[in-house]
Amino acid sequence: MDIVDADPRAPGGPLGADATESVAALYRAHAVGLIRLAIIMLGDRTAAEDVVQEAFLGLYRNWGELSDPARVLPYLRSAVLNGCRSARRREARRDRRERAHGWAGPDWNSAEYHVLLAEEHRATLAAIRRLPGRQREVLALRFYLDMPEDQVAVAMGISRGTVRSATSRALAALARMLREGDQ
Amino acid sequence: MITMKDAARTQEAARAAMRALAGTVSDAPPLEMPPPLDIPTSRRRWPGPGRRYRRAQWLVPLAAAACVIAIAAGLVAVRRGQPAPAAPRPVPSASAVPDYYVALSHPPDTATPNQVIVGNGATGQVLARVSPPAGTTFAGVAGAADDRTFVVEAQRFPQPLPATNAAVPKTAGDGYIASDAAIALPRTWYLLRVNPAAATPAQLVRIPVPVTPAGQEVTALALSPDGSKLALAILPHPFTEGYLGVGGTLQLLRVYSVATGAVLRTWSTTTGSIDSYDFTPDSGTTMSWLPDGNHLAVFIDSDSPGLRVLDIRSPGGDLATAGARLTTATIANCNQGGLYTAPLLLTPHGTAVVCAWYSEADSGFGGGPENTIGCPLTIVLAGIADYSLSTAAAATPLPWPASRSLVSYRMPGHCATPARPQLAWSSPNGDEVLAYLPSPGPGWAVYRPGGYTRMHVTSVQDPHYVAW
Repeated sequence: MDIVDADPRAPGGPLGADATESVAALYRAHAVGLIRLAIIMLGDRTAAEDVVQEAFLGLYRNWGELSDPARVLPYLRSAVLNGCRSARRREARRDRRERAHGWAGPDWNSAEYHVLLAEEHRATLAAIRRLPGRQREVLALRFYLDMPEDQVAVAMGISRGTVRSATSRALAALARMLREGDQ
Repeated sequence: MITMKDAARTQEAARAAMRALAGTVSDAPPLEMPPPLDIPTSRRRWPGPGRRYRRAQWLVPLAAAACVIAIAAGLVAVRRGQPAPAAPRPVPSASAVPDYYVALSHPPDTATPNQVIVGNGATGQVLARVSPPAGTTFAGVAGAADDRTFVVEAQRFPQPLPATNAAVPKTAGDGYIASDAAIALPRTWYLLRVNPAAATPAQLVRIPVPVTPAGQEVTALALSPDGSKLALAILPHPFTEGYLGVGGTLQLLRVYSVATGAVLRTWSTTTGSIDSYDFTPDSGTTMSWLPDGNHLAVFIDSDSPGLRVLDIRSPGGDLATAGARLTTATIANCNQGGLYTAPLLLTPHGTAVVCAWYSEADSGFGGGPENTIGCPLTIVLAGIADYSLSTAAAATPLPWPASRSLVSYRMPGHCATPARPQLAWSSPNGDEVLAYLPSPGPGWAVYRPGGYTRMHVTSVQDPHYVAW
């Protein structure tokens, strides 16, 4: 996948021009991949970009506290996932407020997505969006990022058994929704 | 029911759709960096042109404290076919922090079965490493209240591919189907006795609890405080005939006699499951016994999720309506943000619900004191479970936000890491908990207001498979 563990410039030094340059270099290398992950979680490009910007800003602010370059990308990925959770909480609150006005998340049938995505993908994404947060997250990590179960477990803070269980239940729910959508 | 072929097809559809959506992103907007000198330790918000940044926290990896590990290899006897445990023993005070733990090791290679590691968390001493019976691997563990009695589940090993797996296209994926099917392999049950002073400090004994059949997933297990009863939540796996989708599948809750294997009680429902994704089924807080050994607290995930307290002396019946139910307000007290509920724990005397989370609101970036640094672990006494066990009256939650809130540990970093605390034990009044905080937290520790005492658990890959 396009999110790969790189060898970023060593963190741990003082904030300043070097930190700015290093974080900017990391951003150039990984921002697109992380935005892609975030858009899967959120379904919204602007919100995905915001989450990724926040993650990199956090990285910059704490540059001096980093001691292990190998942790930079896992940190960014975790920060993006957690940012997505926060964004979804805000979205859920907004959704409750705006449900009466017909707001229902991203419109996969919009003209924009009609151009960008095939119909079957739009249907699948709409179904994924209806999954509980943990199930959606586990699908993204397992099947978009192709992370093995143990890494997903670490990234999500759950057991490997729960990764398996959540994955199978997500697939079962997804299959059912897609089947119902076909009828 | 979903077939494996359906699952493989759905998996590919999900993968293709997610990649198609990701493919719509080909560039990133410029990174809006603050001026270098404006940022460092003050941790003020940087509004940035056109954006509002809400948090700026960061983790600092901590070096894990060195554990003193003394491996007592070969000190374990695995005894099969022996009489089941003797009569229930007195339960020690639930007020004491448990010292001994049993953890599943997860070898990095797939050819080695899981062992269980028996250790003293207070001293860091490893008392024993127990290998599973031949042809099996350990898959789960739960502990009684005496800090000496544990139950472990074993399943076949190596995990066989299901016969129907041949129908799965070769392109189906990366082995997910096979590993997933392993969830539903038959389960065999063992009792693990810990006696630190004995020459053989850990003894594994097969117990007559019936083998959980293939196709059934054990979603929660709990050993009664005196070790005499084992509660299993059993749900058909999605790839089996019994799985009818959300809202139609039969969730069973069975209580077995450890001594005889007899089914003492059965509850069931098709309108909910003991398999919540928001109530941390991993940590053992999905189901726990009250100290009297007659009541079982169970989280039921349904349209209206909640904690029910079941009296096992009652006849059993409908799981969705049986027993006393804590009000949803108590759960809401632990529901920070609406989507992810903080891990919950019923205190040992069953008198209160404790939950814990990292709170952005307290971190100094979302409304807390501006000079607060770091991401605090907040432990909250979320509700007084003042139900009457005899009348099954409902519980009354403490009013929120007047609930008792204890900031007991301040994570030296930020909240932007997936670091849900895992609660394993609580003092009766809820002001002291044994919990696991992932790095950069200190791992297993007893947390109190203003400090913590680290517990030394030998390196295990997955803290969710540690019982105290």
